[in-house]
Amino acid sequence: MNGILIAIVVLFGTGLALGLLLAYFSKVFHVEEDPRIDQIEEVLPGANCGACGMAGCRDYAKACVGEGEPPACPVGGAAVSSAVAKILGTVAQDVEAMVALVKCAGTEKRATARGPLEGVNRCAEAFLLGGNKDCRHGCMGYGDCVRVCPADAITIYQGNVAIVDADKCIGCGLCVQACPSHVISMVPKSRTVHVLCNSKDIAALTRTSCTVGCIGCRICARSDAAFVIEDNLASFTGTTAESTVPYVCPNDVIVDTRAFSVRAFVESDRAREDFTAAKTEFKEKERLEKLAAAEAKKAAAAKAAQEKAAAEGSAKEGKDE
Amino acid sequence: MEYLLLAIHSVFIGNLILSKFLGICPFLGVSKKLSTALGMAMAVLFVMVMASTVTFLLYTYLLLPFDLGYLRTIVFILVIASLVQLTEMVIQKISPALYEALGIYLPLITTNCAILGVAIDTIEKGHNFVGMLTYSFFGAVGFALALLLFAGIRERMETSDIPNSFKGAASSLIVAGILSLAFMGFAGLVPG
Repeated sequence: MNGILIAIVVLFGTGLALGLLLAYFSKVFHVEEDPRIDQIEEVLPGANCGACGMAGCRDYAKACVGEGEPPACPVGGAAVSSAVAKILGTVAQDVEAMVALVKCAGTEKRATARGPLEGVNRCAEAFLLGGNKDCRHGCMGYGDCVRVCPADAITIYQGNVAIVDADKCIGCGLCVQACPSHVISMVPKSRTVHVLCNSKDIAALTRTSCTVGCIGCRICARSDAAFVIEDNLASFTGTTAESTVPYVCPNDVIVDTRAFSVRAFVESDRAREDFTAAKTEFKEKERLEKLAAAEAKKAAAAKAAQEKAAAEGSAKEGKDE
Repeated sequence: MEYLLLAIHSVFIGNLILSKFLGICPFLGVSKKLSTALGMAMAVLFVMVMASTVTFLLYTYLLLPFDLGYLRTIVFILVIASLVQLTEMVIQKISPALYEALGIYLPLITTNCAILGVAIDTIEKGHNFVGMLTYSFFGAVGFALALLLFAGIRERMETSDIPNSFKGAASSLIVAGILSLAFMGFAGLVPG
């Protein structure tokens, strides 16, 4: 009995002594940390994804209060940036929230296949073997990007084309790194117009390998200056455009996300039909407008000629008199 | 001479990781890069000597007089955990540079079984104070040696072509096994 009592007392005493010691020393050796670090950490997304270049959100918060401005948090976007700025008492950096975009709509029906690659289950492997589609620049669909995505934002449609869910995407850019074909790129979340093709081949090649490939024809650039053509490939550099802009593309490569989501544009035949219908309607309207304009011009020209003739006639008459 | 033999014994023959299989968690966990392995090794060295010293004193002057030897495990755990906590606070205040260098490893080894293992083993073996210091210090050196060797091998394996199914943990465990076999070769070095 005595032994148990002593054991209890000793254990209790040790615990108590150590606890008091710790409590005391935590006061004595208290390190003043900038309270803003905790505050900033709280407003950060807390994904510890490392997209900013720091090891984690805590390190990023520390970098914020230190000297030198760390790059803005690409995951949190403008909301976090302004919240951090509020804590620091500075003006927010203008930061665009970015999301990943797979610039390919080459599903089985649209892009011609080179035949299945036996025993290949990674994009990286398939890329070394020349890819599984005739188009070297398109999505191969083995899902290297899906495997690295921390947010489960990427799905593969029919084993052919990866599609990023822009709402789930946290903008970390890991998939961009993982993709051997460089078909994924980061785009501003606010951008509504995308060119869904990555083919840098010449027009003749692109035309034979895919029905929805960009051939660099420059028609879109003529209708909107925000389109830039480089290496036989158009890209949209603006934020938004006229809703009729996608209709000018002869190969239906441009998608306007206000009308169709990227997913629908890639996956759904129905969406494509709707798009084609709208495009035909637009073209028809344009044709009619052109016709009407030509007619009006013709009429105006005829009228002008008549007036001129009349004027000349009257002048002649005046001369005669 | 006796301490020299003890030192060699604890580094090579009775290596904590490779022959006693203590502290396998950090051995596999923080051996991906040589630099982090070095940080971990230093933290272990520091904590192991300190914890063994304190637990040794506590055992000799508190537990033994009261005939409470059977309480040592729970008391040691208690002491080691709070000691590491305390050390962390002190280091953070006194030497922020060292605190940054040890980083996350210091709190991690609070629950490292190698620390507790050495603290208990040294009592089990009946070392005196100097023997305890030698044993804990060189035990930690042995830990560091194994960890650094393993980290170096793993760094090289990163760039070599390994079959898919052997990548990562599988090949690491195989390497750890071979390393352990290699350390068995030291067995005849010191008699006893």
